[in-house]
Amino acid sequence: MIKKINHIIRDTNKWSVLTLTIICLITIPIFTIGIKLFYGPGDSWEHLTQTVLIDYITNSLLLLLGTSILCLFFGVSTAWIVSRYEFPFRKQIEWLLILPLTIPSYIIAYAYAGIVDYGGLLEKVTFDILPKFDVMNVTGLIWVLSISLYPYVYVASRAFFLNQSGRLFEASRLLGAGEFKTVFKLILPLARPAIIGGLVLVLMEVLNDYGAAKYYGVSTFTTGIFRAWFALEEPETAIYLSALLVVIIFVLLGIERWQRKKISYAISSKTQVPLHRKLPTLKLKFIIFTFVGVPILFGFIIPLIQLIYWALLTYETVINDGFLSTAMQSFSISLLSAIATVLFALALVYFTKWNRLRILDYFTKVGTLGYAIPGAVIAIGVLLPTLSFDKYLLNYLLDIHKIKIGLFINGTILALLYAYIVRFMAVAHNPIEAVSLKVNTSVTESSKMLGNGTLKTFFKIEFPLIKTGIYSALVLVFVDVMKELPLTLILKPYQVQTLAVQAYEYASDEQIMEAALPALLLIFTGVLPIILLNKLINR
Amino acid sequence: MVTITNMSKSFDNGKNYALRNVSFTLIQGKSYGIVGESGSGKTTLIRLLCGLETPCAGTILVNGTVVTSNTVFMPPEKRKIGLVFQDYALFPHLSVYENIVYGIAKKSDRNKRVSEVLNLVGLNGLEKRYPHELSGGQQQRVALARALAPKPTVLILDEPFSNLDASLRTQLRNELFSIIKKTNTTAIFVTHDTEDALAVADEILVLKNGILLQKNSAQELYLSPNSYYVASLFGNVITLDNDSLKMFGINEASCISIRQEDIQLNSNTEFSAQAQVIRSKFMGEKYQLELSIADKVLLVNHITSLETKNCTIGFNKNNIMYFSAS
Repeated sequence: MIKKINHIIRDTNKWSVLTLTIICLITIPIFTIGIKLFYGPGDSWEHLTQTVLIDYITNSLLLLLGTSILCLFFGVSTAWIVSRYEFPFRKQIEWLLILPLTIPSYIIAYAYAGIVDYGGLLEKVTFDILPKFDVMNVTGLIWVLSISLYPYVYVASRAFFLNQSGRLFEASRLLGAGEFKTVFKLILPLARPAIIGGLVLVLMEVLNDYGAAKYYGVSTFTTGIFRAWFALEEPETAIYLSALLVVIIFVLLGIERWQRKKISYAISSKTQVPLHRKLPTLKLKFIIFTFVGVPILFGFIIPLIQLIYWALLTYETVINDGFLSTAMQSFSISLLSAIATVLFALALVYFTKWNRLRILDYFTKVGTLGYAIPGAVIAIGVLLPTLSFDKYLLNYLLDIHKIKIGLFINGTILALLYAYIVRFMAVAHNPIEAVSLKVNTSVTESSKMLGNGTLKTFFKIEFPLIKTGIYSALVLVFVDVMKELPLTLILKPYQVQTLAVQAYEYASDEQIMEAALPALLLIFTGVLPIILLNKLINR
Repeated sequence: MVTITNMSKSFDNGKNYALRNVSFTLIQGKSYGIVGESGSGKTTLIRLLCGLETPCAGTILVNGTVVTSNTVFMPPEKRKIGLVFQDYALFPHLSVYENIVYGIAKKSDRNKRVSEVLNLVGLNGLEKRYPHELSGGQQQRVALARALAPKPTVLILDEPFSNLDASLRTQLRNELFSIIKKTNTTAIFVTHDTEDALAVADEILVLKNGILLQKNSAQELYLSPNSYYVASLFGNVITLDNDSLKMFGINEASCISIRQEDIQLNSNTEFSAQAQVIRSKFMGEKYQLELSIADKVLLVNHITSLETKNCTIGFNKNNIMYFSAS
């Protein structure tokens, strides 16, 4: 026992303390919500259970189930097609299939509402021969979320099909199995962990969605949290709902982890042979273009046309000083948050590496849990402890130093920045960790063996080698913060406005056409850095 | 001088030990070889010495200073130990000059020292090249120059010849040995190839399953190995069981070992027996004879082929090696 304590003291260095500090800072909001589950809900809980809670649960479950089915269908089928067949414009189509991810779900929701509305795009194109149908319901929401989120499944499945299945496919065919049997008996079961990995990301986004569900009038857990917080003015109930949502998410994460454990049998470096692409017949080409065309058309092109059409109608009224200032604010906040998150992620990756207390490695992953927790829940998780801190600071300064100040963190950009760091830590952490693992440990160790300390080794040796990973992390967080809605709605200071919030507010005020221009700017800022990053990586 | 006492390391909380109770002393200016198969604990041992791992138990002293113990841990950058990695670990974004100058603390000495070590390894004129512009042998010399530049107390070379082809290997082995001897640095060569160790080390440490089996000069290891494993590392060993020994007229021992080269054919030896020749196999500079004695097949090397069906084989008493069953 004494020997173990001696070892802990021996192996604890400044980096251990700093690692623990960062992990604590990131996990405080998540644990605050978790702990509140034991405090029980507010007075209106009973009323909620008798009225809307059942709707929250059924609608959330329906959304999870519906989007799972559709995302699996679109994601896996398109991934298989682009991996298995060689057809005209395949490379371009591979890219186009990812693009729906650049449009936030709530903006696709606004676009669809306009498309099927009276006098909308659909009516004009079809000369009003189609019967009217309503998308502002659970079914419509399932469609909207699926068509915008299926790329998560597509990307994960495609990576597996392209890199892993070549040798397996050849072995199966040589054993006499046909294409159909090979796909359904061999490839799909083996790809299951990868596919589920992508699907879990979809489900997290579905639970995170606020803008689309609110606009379509579908009550979900997330809209319930907002309702309890703002309409019922009962934070306890909002917190309790958040805690229940966190429980659901932990179950989903558990499933994903359980599946990931199985991935070891599926991925072997020895079987990493690309799948040989086959030339389709004319009939098959028609089927292929239908399969890949539907998600591109409905997930990207049609909503984009609708938004451009609206933007052309409204740009004269929307573009004014206020709009430009919002765009600038949105851009600055996103850039600032991206830099701060990347710095924290870099610190977490490297402080953990430099710390010798190996037990801390287990906690590092906890620091990246924020991405799985919906924005609204994180916002509340940030609000509670920072409010306590502000109150303590206020009283301390007033009682001891007789200084009167306002709230230091809450209602300022600091709270928003803190919440973004918690929420998007994983987005920055993953590419930085991946690229840092590629730097051969012997390179950094040899720097130390040559008498150079940890920081000199980092700045002189590692930093130049991991720059691409840092740029990727910056771009990814920047794009995510630009699009973020529920968290921003709760935590943004009164005078601060972002493009996402502006689009949401226009849509909420029944000025849907005016929402198009900020939405288009959001899409543009999402696509552009990804193209630039792609060029940078290729260079 | 380096002293390691009771060093143990486990990576799974004591379920398995990569290194168990290893103790030895290394003397300044001598060169040592650490030999063992994969998983024997060679790499763990040098990583502990360098401060790249922390041990579960044990102490390390470098020139009288405790650098590792249960309560002390000196970071690698302060230990003054040089390490040449198996993959050389050259900094890919720095030139040869920048790689070598990297570890030299005194700014005023830099150019002089770089030129000294480049001269030592015979790479003058390549200062501006980048690692990817060098051949494998040149990369290794740069790695050696870089490790020598800060004048380390101990220089460790991890599998220095494993990435080289056979012809370059012998040449570099000799060069490396003479370069290191010129610097009077304590050198440790880590290798799985005993031939490498025999060529460059004054003393050899043999590791197996995390245990230090023997530490002696190459000659002592060859002549007086303390285990069958050590004996078999430094040459082919034939084990004769009770039935075979009776054929040689030895009754008191249950099992003995003899080096293949100590078995003599058709000559006067203290112990001899008749053997059947199964076949002679041409192996280039020698023939390998497959002989049968008391239903046991022995492989013996001989300079000529044997055309007869039988032959006499024998050995002398001082060739016999006794090892305990464990």
